[in-house]
Amino acid sequence: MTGLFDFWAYTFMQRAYLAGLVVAVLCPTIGIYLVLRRLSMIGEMFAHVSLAGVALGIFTGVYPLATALGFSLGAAAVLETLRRTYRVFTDLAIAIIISAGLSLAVVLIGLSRAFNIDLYSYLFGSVLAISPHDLWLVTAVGLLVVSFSWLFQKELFFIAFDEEAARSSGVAVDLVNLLFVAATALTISVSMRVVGILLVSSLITVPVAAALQLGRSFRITAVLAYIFAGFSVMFGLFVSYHANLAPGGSIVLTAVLIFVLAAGSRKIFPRGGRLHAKNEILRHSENEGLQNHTPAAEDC
Amino acid sequence: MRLPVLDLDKITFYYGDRMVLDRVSLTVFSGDFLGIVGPNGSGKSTLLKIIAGLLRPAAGSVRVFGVERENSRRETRIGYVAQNVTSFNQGFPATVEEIVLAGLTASLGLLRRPGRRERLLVEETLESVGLADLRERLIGELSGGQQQRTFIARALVAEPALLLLDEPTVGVDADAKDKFYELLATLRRERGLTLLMVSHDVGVVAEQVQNIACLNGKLYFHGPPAEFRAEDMLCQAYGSAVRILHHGDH
Repeated sequence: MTGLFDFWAYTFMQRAYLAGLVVAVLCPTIGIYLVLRRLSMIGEMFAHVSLAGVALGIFTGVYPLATALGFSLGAAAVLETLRRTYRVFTDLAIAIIISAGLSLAVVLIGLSRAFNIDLYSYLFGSVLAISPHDLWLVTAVGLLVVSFSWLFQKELFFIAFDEEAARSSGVAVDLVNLLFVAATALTISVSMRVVGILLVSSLITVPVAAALQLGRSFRITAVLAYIFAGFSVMFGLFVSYHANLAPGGSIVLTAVLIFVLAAGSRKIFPRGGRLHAKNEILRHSENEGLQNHTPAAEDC
Repeated sequence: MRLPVLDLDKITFYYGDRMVLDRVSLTVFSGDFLGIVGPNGSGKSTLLKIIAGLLRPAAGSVRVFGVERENSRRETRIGYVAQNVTSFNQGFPATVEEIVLAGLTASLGLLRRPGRRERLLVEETLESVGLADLRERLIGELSGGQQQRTFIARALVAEPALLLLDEPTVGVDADAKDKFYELLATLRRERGLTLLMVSHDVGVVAEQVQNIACLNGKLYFHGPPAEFRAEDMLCQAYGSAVRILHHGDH
């Protein structure tokens, strides 16, 4: 008889889970700022550019994750140049880079005259085929991006909320933005190994979107996003192993299901927390508002 | 003698080919409350952005406490509350406390995380603007007036000597407006804050401020409200606006 957790005996499953966990931490780390800055499409952009990188890697025989990383960092530089030097709107700049990335990928795939199994594994993810080499790279990038987000958290938060105020107060906005775009490029390049190019931006945005339904502060929202992404990866891999489903799809479907439940719970309990908050404000204004010597909370 | 907090010397600014500010010179002394009035497009907000370091003038200099302002250098002695500050993403998951804490980002510098001292500062600032009890509320749940005070607290927490306010009472109801001016008076008294406020509402500003500057590309008047004979100055500064009004009459 086989147990539910027998898969842990296989080293390929251990590697899959480890890589999946790193990606589950990475994606919301970057995703929360991307979503709040309404830049979710940047995820798609890096994914498409990475596809061109992977195609080049396969065509030339270079390690595809490395070429994808190089292409993504290049795209980050192009994006900043288009925005700052040529004053192209960010969404238009993203659209241009997506087109360039995808068309280059198509040409390179055509040149290699085969839509081979390797490319397929990048498109749809191949977490079960992750090599020790891949795992090292994913972990190294994970440590780098998480340290960046930890060290620059207050800047990233301020810029996401109000870029102009951050700039006027003297925050090094340009530097932080540049590092953030680079961190995003790195995150997407390594995450696509797990969920695939087609689904990587979903893992960046969907857990954050679910967390936004329930979060009562930035900190809580971030913690929820980590929990949702972590659970999606764990449960998605578990289901994919037992039901023989595609892991990338199972992971993202789990995330979407969590989002539906989170949005639904908000619908069933319409802003329960907020209702509570409002009552408290009213109570405060009735009981204590007048005792406050400074203009206080009563004008709501 | 009072110190000049801010010294603008012949500030000139263009948007493309259009000259928006024409050699504007202005000195603001410590403890002053200066209201800048003028019609739409008169360059009021532009001037404030130049002082805040968001725009670079084509010519002229900005001196803060006698030292030339460089846009690249961080200047924590100036606090800036932008126009339409309440037009942010209302669904942003941030509490009042988290937003005010963000005001200390620049003074903490890169790679340093806020600690106990910073949290204490945030608490004190929230007390002084009367938001202490709402610190754990999401920003989107507050009224316009309360949001406005949150953003003032975010600017105040870095303990600036000069606070720049761009149309701070737009979108705030009458009751909250009164409270807002009460708060400004308290801040001036208790913190010795110098205030520079841009507004299109000449009547209200004249009641509240110590000095008025009337701007329309050029500076037309700078002095106490009593000397600001509204009609004369309005005719000069609001020239084009007045003509448009006459067209409407016919």
